[in-house]
Amino acid sequence: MARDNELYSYAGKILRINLGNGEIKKEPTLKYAREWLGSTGIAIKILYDELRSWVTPYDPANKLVFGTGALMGTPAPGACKMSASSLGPRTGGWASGCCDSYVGGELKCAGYDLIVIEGRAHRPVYLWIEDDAIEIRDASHLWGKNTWETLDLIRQDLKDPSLHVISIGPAGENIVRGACIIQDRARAFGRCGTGAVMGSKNLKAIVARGTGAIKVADRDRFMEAVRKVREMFKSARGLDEMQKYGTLKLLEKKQGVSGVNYRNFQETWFPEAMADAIEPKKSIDKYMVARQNFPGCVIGCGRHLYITEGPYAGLVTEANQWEAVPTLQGRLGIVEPTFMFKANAVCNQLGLDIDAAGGAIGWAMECYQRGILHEKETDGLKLNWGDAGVALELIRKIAYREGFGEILAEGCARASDLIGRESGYYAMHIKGQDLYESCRGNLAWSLGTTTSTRGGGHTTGAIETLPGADAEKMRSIYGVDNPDKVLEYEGKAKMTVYMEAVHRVNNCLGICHFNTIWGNLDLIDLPQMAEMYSAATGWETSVEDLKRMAEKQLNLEKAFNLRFTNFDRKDDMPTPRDLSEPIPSGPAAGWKMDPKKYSGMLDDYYDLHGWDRETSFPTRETLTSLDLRYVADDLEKMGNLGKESKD
Amino acid sequence: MEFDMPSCGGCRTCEMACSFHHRGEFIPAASSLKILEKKEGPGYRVFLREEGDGSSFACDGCEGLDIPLCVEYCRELDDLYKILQEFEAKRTKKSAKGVQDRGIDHGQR
Repeated sequence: MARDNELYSYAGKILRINLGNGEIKKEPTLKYAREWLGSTGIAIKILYDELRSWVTPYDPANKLVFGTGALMGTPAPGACKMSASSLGPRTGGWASGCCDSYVGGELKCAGYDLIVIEGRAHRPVYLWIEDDAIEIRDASHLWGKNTWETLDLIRQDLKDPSLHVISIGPAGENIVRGACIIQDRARAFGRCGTGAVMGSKNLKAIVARGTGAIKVADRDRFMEAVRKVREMFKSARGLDEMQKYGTLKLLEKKQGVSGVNYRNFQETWFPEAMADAIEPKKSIDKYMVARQNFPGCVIGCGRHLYITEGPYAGLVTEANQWEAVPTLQGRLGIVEPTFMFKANAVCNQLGLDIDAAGGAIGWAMECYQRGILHEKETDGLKLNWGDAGVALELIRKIAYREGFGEILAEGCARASDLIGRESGYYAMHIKGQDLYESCRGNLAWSLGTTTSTRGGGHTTGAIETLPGADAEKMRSIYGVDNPDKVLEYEGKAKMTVYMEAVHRVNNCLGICHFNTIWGNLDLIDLPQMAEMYSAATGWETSVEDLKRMAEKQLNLEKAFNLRFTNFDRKDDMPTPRDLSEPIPSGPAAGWKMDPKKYSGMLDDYYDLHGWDRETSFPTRETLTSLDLRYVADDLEKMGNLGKESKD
Repeated sequence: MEFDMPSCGGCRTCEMACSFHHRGEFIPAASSLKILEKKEGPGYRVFLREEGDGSSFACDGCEGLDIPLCVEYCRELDDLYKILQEFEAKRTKKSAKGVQDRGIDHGQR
């Protein structure tokens, strides 16, 4: 297979498919890869350069970029992540979600690092990519099918039961703002609404098969780097429980920092009886039938369940990650312990992001509790806390935009604009993205979440500090004195800035966050990633180089948002509820956020980035130092260039 | 030859490792080991290639290495190791050579 001789670890080509006219083009990845790390790093550069300011998310001129990690296709630990990025309908700005994937490895073996989807198909289609052969196939028989049915039908169509597929469900087809893209049955390119963009393009699915090779520049050095990293997993503390239960191990520790969501964040701690009733570890012990691992992963957090009792007996599904516990189960106050598996499976089938579903339904239930919403507006449904049947019915209504679901499909921010009547206070979102993150009482987590360029989100800088964390190790990583003091404002900006780089490098290389210091302080950090990337590509890349590339990427994400939105400093602040209400219960009860101190944390954060404190915008000096002079020119034209500090 | 491996999580890292042993690059299509989906029951099936066909290679048990590379990269290394031994025993029928018990590091678990 032809590929650029100088390029290692990358597959070599970027595939551009225009669904409007059927045109297929290929360009060398090398055009971008020296300056921008793979996957999301290249995606933001393409989207920034190519989307004009008049483009809107569902416009055929919007582009949807699928990226594979630069280390994907190699056995680098955790290198199984693929990304989907676009101008998103959730925030109206930068949208990017990563997903555990087999499809990404197939794409790389087929020769492609990224796929840029352009235009809109005239009728439903899916893409079948088999090495050099690329087919835009009719998908009329798949339209209306859920993601599980789509997987089965495509495997039948192509007569290969081992193919892997990424697809949208009815939520994406119906342009639900919180629609996501699902890999096979249970892994999601979550948040941001990339599934709605895919639906707007009439693109139902992508399936890939590749028979080519991924080469690394220095075989011995790369395999030695991988071996050393795998050794880290043998001695990492606390990994046993992660390997046994995955992220569903977290309940007790999250309770310990008041880090959950109960009744739409009215409380951030579960009543003890409820916590005991829903403890997911007990469910895993009861219902697990098999494991699910993704390429390279040394943890293996996935597990298949067969639910044998209760209202959802007979359900066969892959278990959800932790996120479903607070975002659906707890937020809606549901005590039935298997509800999380059922609701997660239904969301996956419908192609609906669980945070989008939980955020909108939680908001609606609180509005109903407070008499803001009435049955005449909710299709006669009584939106009582804890009613699993109503919750599942609302999930269905959202995906099909049916009745009251039409409003909820817009997400809690827009839904509260539509309803009015003081309902906005109960819409828990950042920049239009529904929150799963509890922002009270864990300040490095909160700062990373509220400043995220994709709206609320904990995978672009947020750091979770749980009881029992090794403070000494954290000090050595983050370079601050008090990393474990979650209620102290000092130092949290520095921690967040470090994690912003780690998260971005992870996403670009395709490494799952759980295999890194974000998930466990004893695992992969930037030095190991620099060594693996250097050995794989043959380009000597230091930790400082990686940090600089991540910083450059972050500045471009900011600039992208400034082209399409009016986000500024005020949008980096927590929600009114998080700013004004003390933590009502649990171990951190009584603690209340100090808005002035939070604002001071933002000052520190902007200073570290070289951004204007007043607006949060990047300055010319900062952009120029990152070789982004053209971006400074663009921002200046828009009147969105940050002012230089006078100090 | 196919074997049932109920504990397999389907990560296919073994395929990458195997192809690296044969070719010095990561090319699952050329692996002598293939992870196949099962219609029913937990885990996956492991297919081991007995004869190479030019583009792929027969399993040689990674002769010369302390442990076969696929086993080194497997989370359930004991189970995969047993499969390789069974494969070798069936293949050679009379004398089990190639994948003899070389002792493996269990620290991975």
